[in-house]
Amino acid sequence: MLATGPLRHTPAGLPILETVIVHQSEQQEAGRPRKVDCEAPILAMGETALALHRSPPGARMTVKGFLAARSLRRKQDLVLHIEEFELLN
Amino acid sequence: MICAAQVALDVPLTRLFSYAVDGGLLAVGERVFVPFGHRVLSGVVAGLEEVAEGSMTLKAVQSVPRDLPCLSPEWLALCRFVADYYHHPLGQVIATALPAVFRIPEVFTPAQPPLLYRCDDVEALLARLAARATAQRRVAQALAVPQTAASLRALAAPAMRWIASWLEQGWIEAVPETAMAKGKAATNAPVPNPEQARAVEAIASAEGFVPFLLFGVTGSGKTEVYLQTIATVLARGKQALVLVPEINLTPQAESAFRARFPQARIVSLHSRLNDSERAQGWLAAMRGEADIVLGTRLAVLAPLPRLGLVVVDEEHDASFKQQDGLRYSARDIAVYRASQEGIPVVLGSATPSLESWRNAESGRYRLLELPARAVPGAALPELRVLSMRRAPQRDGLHESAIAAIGRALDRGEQALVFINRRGYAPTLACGECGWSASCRHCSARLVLHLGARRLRCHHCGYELRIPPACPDCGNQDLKPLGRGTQRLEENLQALFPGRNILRIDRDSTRRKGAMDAALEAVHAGEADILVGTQMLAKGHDFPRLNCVLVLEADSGLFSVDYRAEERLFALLTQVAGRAGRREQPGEVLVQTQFPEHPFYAQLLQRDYRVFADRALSERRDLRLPPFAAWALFRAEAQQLDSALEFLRTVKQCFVPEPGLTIGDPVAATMLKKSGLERAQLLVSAENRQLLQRALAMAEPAMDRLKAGRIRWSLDVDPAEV
Repeated sequence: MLATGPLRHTPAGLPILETVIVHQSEQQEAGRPRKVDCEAPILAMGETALALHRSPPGARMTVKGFLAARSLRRKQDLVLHIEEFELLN
Repeated sequence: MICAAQVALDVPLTRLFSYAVDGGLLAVGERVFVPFGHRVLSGVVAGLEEVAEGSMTLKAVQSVPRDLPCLSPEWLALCRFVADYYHHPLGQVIATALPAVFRIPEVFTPAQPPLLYRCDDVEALLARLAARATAQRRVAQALAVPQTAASLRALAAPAMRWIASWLEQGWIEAVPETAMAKGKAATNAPVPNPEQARAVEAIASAEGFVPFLLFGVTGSGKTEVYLQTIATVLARGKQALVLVPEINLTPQAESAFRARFPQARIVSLHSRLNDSERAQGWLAAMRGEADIVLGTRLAVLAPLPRLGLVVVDEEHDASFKQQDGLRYSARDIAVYRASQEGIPVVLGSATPSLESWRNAESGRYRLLELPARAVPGAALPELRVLSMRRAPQRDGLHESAIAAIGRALDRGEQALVFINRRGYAPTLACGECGWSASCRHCSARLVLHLGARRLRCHHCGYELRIPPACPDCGNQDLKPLGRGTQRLEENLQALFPGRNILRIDRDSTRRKGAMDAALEAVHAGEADILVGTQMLAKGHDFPRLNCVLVLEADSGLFSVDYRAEERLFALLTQVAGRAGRREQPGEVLVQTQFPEHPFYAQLLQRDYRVFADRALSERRDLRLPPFAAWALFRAEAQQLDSALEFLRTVKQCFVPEPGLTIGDPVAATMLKKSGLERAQLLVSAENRQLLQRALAMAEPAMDRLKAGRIRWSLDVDPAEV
């Protein structure tokens, strides 16, 4: 995770954290290994948002969740919604 | 032969009801209790007739309370005119005009003669009060001029408890209102400037019915003209009727009048008085004991036997038109009253209604002008229109607007940010599926009130808790859309940390006395930035306010209502008028998405005439009022179709005539309100006489219409369509 970013709250009082996650790995593609280095916008709500907010910036983690569109008008602009995460080392 | 009384009752039927009078004498104008079906109703005798004995069986008048002096024939004639003009039953007109206690079949006994409270030595009283008891100190300060219980309660809800204890200590005194003859000397009237002097002279020397249009820029001292003219009226032993648009302005006006006329009996009439206070004020007006009657629109129907002058301040204001029941225009009735009494009437405004403007142009009204600000050296503020297109902005505020506010605060002055929308945001929306919160009873969005954690409909009052997730797609990340006063307050606090931001809107001033407390805080310099709705636009005079920023003004430019631009011009002029009323020049900034709209060019010219002439010529071309007389029928039903169907039957009651246009029933702009679907039918005529004749001719047929469960109304000279 790049930075913890500020928490915001929905009008109903639900905490939401929006930030960016960095992904670096080696993958197999068409039978050959290659490097992947990318960043993705992430969003977490409720308890997950609070727990993420407590994690130190730069923390390494594995995350689990789903992809959703940023908005009605930007359907190709995806945000990774995080449901669960586990801190590494 | 027996004597029968024709009684006007508060029932939705145009006719009067006959009752036998047993023995005792009964005069026209007397209040009576009569049996009506299974009930007893209070009514007013509108006429007497002789009927042959046994010709019909009449119920008898049950009793005559004699708690209200006989209403004069002149007053009954006024009610008859109003009933005829607005096509409303006479009994209901009378009931609208009478204070509540005289509408019910119970004898009214005044609690006690109304008292005025005052303090000769306010400084000594203040010294006895704790420095932190701000509400008590506010009440104490007000006692420098005699005050009624009602206006003290408006300052602070528990005021009368403190008054009782101060009275006991002998720190203040209470005087019956009727014995106020010998008070302190009047505060000295300032010397009028030449324009003011000319206006006072013109009105004071008018003989008979003369309507004046007092056209004065904001801050030009119209109130001073009223005060000095009223002085001449009182000197002749006549009464003056002064109408003000807003209830919040009456305590202010009342204090100004009491300070100037300590010897006069001043009665205020507005809907915030309790029933007994209003009844006593009304009786004082009716008996001719009150010298000055000050009030909102309902005061125009008070009986005034020695009336010598009528003043309508801010005559363009929409609040002079009642929007339900008897849909009367207090300004128009004021002019009619003056013509009946043969006295002058003064309509004052910085942005006169186009109706009055046209009357002044055609010479029907005499135009009096106050072209300059009254305080020497006070100039009209500088006005700038800020284009928001591709402009550098933060939180929807233009960078140069933020800079201007910052400069004003650095100079130790106050700034006003005006947005005519209360709540946190106009609605709550789901960014992913497009859902937004709407009222289930109205065609309207629900407004987000973040502090109260509620979504509220500003039309019907429906409200619910903020939903935790989008009801359509389940997304929990619902976002406020747009901006209201509460969000603006939050944004400004973030932009100007450490500054005091004071929000004044209907939500923040709901509590009794909250408005006055807020105004006091402004005057005391406790607030740096004011955030306000149109409540702040009118009448207030804040000496340290020099910077005004107007947001979201554009909505008035693209309204289906042909009057929207006129109202927007008036509103912006009023808001701009809050700036720089003293020596320092003011600055007014208007943010817009449409800087090239001709409206802004005219606003920048700072000349109401240019706007009024253009708007009038458009109205002339389009045959819109005041170049046509309108009557609007409105109908509401569960289903739009039945409302439209009913209006089609209304249309058939009219006889076609040249110069008369009877439209087709159409759905209202806001289709659904409070669970009912609404339709309307417009009748337009070349002039008022033709319209009145057509309505009168249609009336018998309309009386026979069966409305069933459809609620309908007729609005003559509608303010909104």
